[in-house]
Amino acid sequence: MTQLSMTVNGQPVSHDIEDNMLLVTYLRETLALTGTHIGCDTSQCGACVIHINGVSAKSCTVLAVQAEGKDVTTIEGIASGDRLHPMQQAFHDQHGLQCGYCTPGMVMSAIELVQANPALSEQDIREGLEGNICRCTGYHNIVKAVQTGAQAMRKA
Amino acid sequence: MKFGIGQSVKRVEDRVLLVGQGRYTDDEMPGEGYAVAFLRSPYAHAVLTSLDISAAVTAPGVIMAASHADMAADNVGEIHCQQYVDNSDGTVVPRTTKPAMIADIVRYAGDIAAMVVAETRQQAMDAIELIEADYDSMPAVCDVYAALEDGAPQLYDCYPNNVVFDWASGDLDGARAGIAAAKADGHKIIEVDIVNSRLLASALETRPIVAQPDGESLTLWLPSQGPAPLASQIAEALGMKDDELKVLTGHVGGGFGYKIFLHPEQLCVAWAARKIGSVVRWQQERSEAFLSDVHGRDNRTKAWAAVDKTGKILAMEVSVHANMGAWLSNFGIYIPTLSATRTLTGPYDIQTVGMRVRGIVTNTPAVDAFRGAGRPEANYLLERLMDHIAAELSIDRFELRRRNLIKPEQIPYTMVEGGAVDSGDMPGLLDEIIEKADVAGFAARRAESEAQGKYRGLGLAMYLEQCGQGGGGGVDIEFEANGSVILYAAQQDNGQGHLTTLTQIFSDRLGYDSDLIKVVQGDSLRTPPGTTGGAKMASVLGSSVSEAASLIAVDAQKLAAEHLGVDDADVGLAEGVFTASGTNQSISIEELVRLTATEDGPHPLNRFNNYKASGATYPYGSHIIEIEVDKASFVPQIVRYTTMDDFGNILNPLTLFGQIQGGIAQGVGQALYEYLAYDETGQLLSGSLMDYTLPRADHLPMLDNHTRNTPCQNNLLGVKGAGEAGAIGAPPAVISALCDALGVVHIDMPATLDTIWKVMQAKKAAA
Amino acid sequence: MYATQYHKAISLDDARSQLAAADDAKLLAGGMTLIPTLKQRLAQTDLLIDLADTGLTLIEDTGSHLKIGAMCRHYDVETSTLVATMIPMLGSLAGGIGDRQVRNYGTLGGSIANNDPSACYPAALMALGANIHTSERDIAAEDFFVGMFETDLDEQEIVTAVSFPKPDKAAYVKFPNPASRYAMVGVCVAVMDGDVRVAITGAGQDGVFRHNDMEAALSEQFSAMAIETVAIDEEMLLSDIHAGADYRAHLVREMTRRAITACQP
Repeated sequence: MTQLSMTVNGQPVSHDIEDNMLLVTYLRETLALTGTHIGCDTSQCGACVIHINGVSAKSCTVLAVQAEGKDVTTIEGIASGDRLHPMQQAFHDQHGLQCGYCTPGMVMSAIELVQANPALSEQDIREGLEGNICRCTGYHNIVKAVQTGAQAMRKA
Repeated sequence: MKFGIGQSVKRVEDRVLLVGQGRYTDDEMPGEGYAVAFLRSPYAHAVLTSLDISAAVTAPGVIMAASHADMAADNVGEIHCQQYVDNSDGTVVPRTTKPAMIADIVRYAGDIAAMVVAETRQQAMDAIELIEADYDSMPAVCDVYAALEDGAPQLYDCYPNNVVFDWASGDLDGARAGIAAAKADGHKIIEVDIVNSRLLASALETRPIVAQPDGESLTLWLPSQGPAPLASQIAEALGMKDDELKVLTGHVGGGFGYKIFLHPEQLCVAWAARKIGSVVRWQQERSEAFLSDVHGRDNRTKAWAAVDKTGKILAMEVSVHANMGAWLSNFGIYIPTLSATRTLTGPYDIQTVGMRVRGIVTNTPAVDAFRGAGRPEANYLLERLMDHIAAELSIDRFELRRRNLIKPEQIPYTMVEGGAVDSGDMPGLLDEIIEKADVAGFAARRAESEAQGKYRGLGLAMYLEQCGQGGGGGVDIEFEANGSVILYAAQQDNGQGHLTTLTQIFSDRLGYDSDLIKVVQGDSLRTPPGTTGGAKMASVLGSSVSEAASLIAVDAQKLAAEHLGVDDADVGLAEGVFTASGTNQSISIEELVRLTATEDGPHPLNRFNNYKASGATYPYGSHIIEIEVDKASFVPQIVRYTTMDDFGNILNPLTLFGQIQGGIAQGVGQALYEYLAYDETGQLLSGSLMDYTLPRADHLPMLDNHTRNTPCQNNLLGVKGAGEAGAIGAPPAVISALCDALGVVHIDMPATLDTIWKVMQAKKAAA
Repeated sequence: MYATQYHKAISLDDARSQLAAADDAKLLAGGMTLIPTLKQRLAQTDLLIDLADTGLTLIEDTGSHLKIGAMCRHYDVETSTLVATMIPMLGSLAGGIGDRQVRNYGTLGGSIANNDPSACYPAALMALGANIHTSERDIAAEDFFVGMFETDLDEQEIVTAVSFPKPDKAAYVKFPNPASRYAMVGVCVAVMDGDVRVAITGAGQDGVFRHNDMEAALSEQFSAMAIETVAIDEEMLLSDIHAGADYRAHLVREMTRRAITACQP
């Protein structure tokens, strides 16, 4: 057991946890932040992507204890009250989600992608989402959503 | 109107999913309950000679360890195939069932030898490692042709030569005679032998279960495509009364077929939870999904077509070898037989056809429906045959299809395999997509690709599907005193946008405020039965809601007349408001609902409706693809993708095209990337996403989707099923384009890099 | 995952003493391979020693070499202006490893210590003749990579940095496995003081290797034409569902051609 403290979506949290607990398990089962999903066991699918100190990470491939003292942001933490984050709004507007299971990770990846390169091309988006798998949309509307979201983020 | 039919209404489902407030199965009571782990057989074919679970029973944190013997002692029932066919010689197919855990013989790697329930997942997995299982391994067989050979390993005594059934449809004798006669007349006989590869549905959410017992009762949360059939099968197996078991499905992270069917773990977990009397949870890992989900497709098919000089098909015989896997899943037999035969002749006018289907057991996981369920297999065969005929007769591929298509004047067109195409203009659609895809400009684009060291190919496929009928039309509509209305609906959203679509229909038909409409699915004790199989949500359930709304309008009109103090006939409904003609007196439907609510009884406007379509829907369409293949590395990349479909009336273009695009990605996946590969001992070689290639964003181009619609005559809304179409049209179109690029007549799926390499080496050697 | 203890080392010395004291400890660098391996119970350890806070993240110009700390993330190398100035090939190699999230966590030291036969970095280290600095000694890349998932490191040894000599020109070309996105074939071509070196990852049964015959041919004439007839021995190449040895051999030649053409100072 290790005493773990970090900030999640702006709130300080602290728990005694097993050292081998994955960060995604801590978020989902200890904090009940179930918006972060698990879709595979080989770090391929990206349903678990969150931000740690503003950097995207696959939370199924990070131990919770590794995030000690860090600032963690999950899909639950990016809207401002009722107002969706521009990337969330873009996914809604462009029908960039169907079953919604990949969506939290997809949105978190897309936000970092746009932050790193606000003027990204279609090809940049497709390559930049290499670590996120969607089984429903064929990616067509996800690419459109990220384009739309990028525009909105530039304006915001 | 805000929520009208035909508008690109944005989805009501999205908000909670976008902010992380979805309720998928594993989100129920997160972290609570005991954890389940399974010990799975490493052998594909073996006798389980001994099993000692005693060390697991006493391991730290273990609540229970169990094997088949324990479930058998409780008389837990087994998994039954739910639809059999008879053999073509009239004999009855011997019935076999699948116990939840291995009884004695292992028939596929991954079958369950034992289970452990422990306080934590880690303890459960630790205890699993303490179980001693001994096996006598036997030779395995995974390929259907190999399974038929003399001396092949035999899976079941009752299925000699591993053949479960030998079934025929259409006029097999007639087809054979037709081919023989055509041959005698000097016509060409074109023969193909093709692979339809084995797939994992790979919904991004796996197949978890949460079980909460309460006395004799049990609540199960699990992802489904409609909870009712799972509930009834589980209740029967556990000897429970129907009302003692409640199966709940919240959000579902993709289904595509396999989440309809009963899987062994569902029986194990439900049984264990009742035995223990506490909440029990199973979190299926992706690697477990590869071993334990029912798989899709996996046919080897031979076909012969007699064609005249113009390329017109005179007669066709088809012989399908359908891999059943190691046991018979719920619809395992139905898929390659009764489902596939429904579109045997596709959009073509073929008058003499017969199909023989043999279901063959092998040492692989069971096979059942995957998006399209038999129809992609049948359509793929037909389209490969078309390309082969075109090549053999040196007829343009587009022209060949045009010559064989059903003509508009033949509609309604009765297909020889059954069913009648009610609407459509196949040649018109083909002509229009040729324009849209700029087929005329292909030669110039090919030259550009050549200049960049790339082969470029143009491919096309047509398809016709028979879908969108059957059960699952139940909707129970309840109005509330505050004016809101709840639609308890059959089937189950898996991402298609059922809530939006049904809200749209109900709102459109009554002018009802969409914000006051709530759609509820996924409760086996409350929502009407039915699943999403067969692209029937809009045609059956949508029509049912539409019909119910119309009937409610009639009832409401009487109440409105009463309220307004006029005759029924003098009241009209427009935009959600009842107005007495010739007066300025009116009342909105929502206000009427509030006023007519009773204190304690049900609302007088409440209505249960069940709709049965008068016939199937026959969506058809075409995919035209251009693919580039790097001449040096053989990497394929689809660069243009155009579709045109006839889906009848359109309810919501946004979600409709979403379905097409998702289906295309899965079809492209099958054609180029995905496959479950087994070695000769029955070990899975592509058992994780490190080896099983799911399409990613950079595998696909932007998609250019069009429709050219003629309303369906067989349901109230005039819609045609669209959920499976993308996955049906894509595989043959991709292979057609790839063959064109590489200058070969055929390449089998999956056309992976290594397959393309081998084909090109063979071509080089032959040259 | 089996039960394990976690220790975040505060310095290299701390990590060394923890490693020495434990029966069975593993070093956690970026964790991009180790954690999935532990998660699937394919490995087990009593103690994980996290190197995240040990420093080891410096990227420096030593005059003769570009020295990169073992805990530099792929993202750090991808975006370093010093790397881009001195050996741009390394920046583009790092930018092609895994996906964005892997590059945000995966490290140079972790990659080479694991020596996955499909990893990208080993090819660059071999082609450039890099020097691996450890807590105990310096090891030449040739001696470091022993075989598939095997290195010359002993159990108590920690990679601290890698020094790359600056090539006259170099390029790395990766052909990714479509599923895992690891290198199915990766070729690094470098010209060092006029000497041509070709290192290949992803293809060999024993992990990364140099191709002496191609090197000899390219030393004679540095052009894609020069390797047309050089034999590539399929016997020593991997064969799996993604690519048979014959196709891999073809890809080795083709990726080498591309690397030759892409070579830049």
